[in-house]
Amino acid sequence: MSTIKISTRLGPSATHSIFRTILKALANPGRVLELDTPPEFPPAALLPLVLSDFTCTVALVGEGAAEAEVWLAAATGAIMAPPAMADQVVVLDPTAASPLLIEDLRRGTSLAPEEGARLALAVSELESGPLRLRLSGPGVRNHMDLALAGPSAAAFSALRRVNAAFPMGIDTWLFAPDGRIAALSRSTQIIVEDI
Amino acid sequence: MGYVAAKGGLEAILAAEDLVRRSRLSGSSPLLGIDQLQERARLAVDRVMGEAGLWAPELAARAFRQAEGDVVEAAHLLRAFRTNLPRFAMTSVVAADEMVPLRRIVPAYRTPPGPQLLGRTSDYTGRLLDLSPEAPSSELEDEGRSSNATGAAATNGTGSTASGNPGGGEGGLTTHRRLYELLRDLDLVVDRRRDIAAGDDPEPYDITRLPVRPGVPRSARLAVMARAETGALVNLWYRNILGTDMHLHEVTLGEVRHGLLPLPVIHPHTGRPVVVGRIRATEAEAIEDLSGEGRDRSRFDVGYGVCVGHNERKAIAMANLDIAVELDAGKGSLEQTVLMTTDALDSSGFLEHLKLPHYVTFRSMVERKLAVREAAAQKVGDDHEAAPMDRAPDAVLAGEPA
Repeated sequence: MSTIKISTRLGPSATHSIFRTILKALANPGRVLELDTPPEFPPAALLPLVLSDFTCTVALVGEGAAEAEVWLAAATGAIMAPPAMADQVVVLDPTAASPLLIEDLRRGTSLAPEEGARLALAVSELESGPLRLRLSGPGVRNHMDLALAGPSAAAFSALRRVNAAFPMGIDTWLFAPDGRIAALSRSTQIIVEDI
Repeated sequence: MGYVAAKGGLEAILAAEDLVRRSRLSGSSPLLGIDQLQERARLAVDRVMGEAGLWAPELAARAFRQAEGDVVEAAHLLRAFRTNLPRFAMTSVVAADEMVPLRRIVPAYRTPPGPQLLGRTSDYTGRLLDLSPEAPSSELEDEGRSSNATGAAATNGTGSTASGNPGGGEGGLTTHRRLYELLRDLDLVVDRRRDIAAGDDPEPYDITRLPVRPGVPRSARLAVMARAETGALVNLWYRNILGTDMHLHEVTLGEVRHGLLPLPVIHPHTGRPVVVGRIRATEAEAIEDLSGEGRDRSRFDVGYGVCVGHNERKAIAMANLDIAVELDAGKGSLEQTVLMTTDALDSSGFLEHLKLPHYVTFRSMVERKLAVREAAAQKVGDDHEAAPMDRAPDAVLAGEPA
């Protein structure tokens, strides 16, 4: 794996553009958008890179986590925490997204739903692949299908369970290696179909 | 139908935005420079920063220009911008005594510890509209050089004071004891000091992250007022001293200061504090007489106010209201009023939104009125025959001829 310079930071316009795309993806669950991904960053790590500062806690999970922790902390000042306590959780490796991990994440409370975690999940493909999510709910007209590869079907079943008690829950973004992203809001209904 | 209306509305909105933008940028005079605004509209720029809650003179001047001089609108632009900024570090606590004063007056006492520094003020100036031709700035600079040797002294204007304190004019770099401390030595004030040695030193309440409701600590109240709209605080102050609220009786100002406060942060590598910049702030201490019913008449109590930039009206109103809320002690609604109705963005935002279409809500209100009338008519109709409405409400609202 290539070494990322610790001093690397995104410029204001790149940060702005990534922030807008992340926001737009969440407003349109399941819609695939393209991120202008800087090649030196693992795409999923862009979420804490643009959203966190030294008041935020971040957890990185999967292959390359140790290395990413170093530059992310240096670039943002974010505090590294275990996944169950973190504001933002990044799963850098699709196979690391276990149902146990997802069920362990913070969901907030009815009075403070904003304390639910934000999950950045690396997938190996978006818009193709063996897994199909049938999505409906706010921001989706009728329903839509999103195909992907990488995480297990059980991971999305776990996501469905943790988001069963709205407004508590976890907002999730899926990051493909080519820079395409899609989001699953905590209010999105997910039916998992493994083809 | 609804879609057509929305489309027409969108075009009108885009045209309105364009009209605002073009009118702002056109005109026969040159566009105001950011530097001009910072220099010539200093107090307005300070108010924008104070009400937005961000020290950024250039951006505040830019917001002021974009808002065509509307302070609240400019504060809105700047606060919205501020919410998107990452936090790089937290400053260490600064004692207010570390302020380098540009102006310091003690209206309560002729010879306080330290100087009375009148500084840049028009407190003693008659309010006459100056219609004489303005001197070119180069002449003014020459004048300043001959009367005052240093830049700091030039900022302080005459240097000495109305009271003629011989100490006047010497200050600007040293810290001085406050009148409050003098009164404390004489056991003349209610002592509100915390026992910091015993660990009673709570973190200040962060009103930008946590909701503010009655019962929050004093630090939250002070933070809310520091960011509040100046006019809202002045009005509340006036209600309390002269109007119906009457929490304040005889208020005298102990200190009014305007000066530079350092911003120290802990260096990430050395672990030592480093001053990374300075901001200007205004501070006020208000001494309340405690002559009201059930008060300790042998003592005074002191309220505190501080805000970003040069805004004495705000700091003074804040210091007075700080003590007024303390004296009210939750018996009346003052704390709630201070905490929840003084923010410029809250109040103006609510007011401004009334201009957006309320067609559906108003239609439902009309229908409720008609339903009430119909129900009443039916009740009357048990005895008499109710008079039918001569025109359908829909036709009237649509402007159809009778």
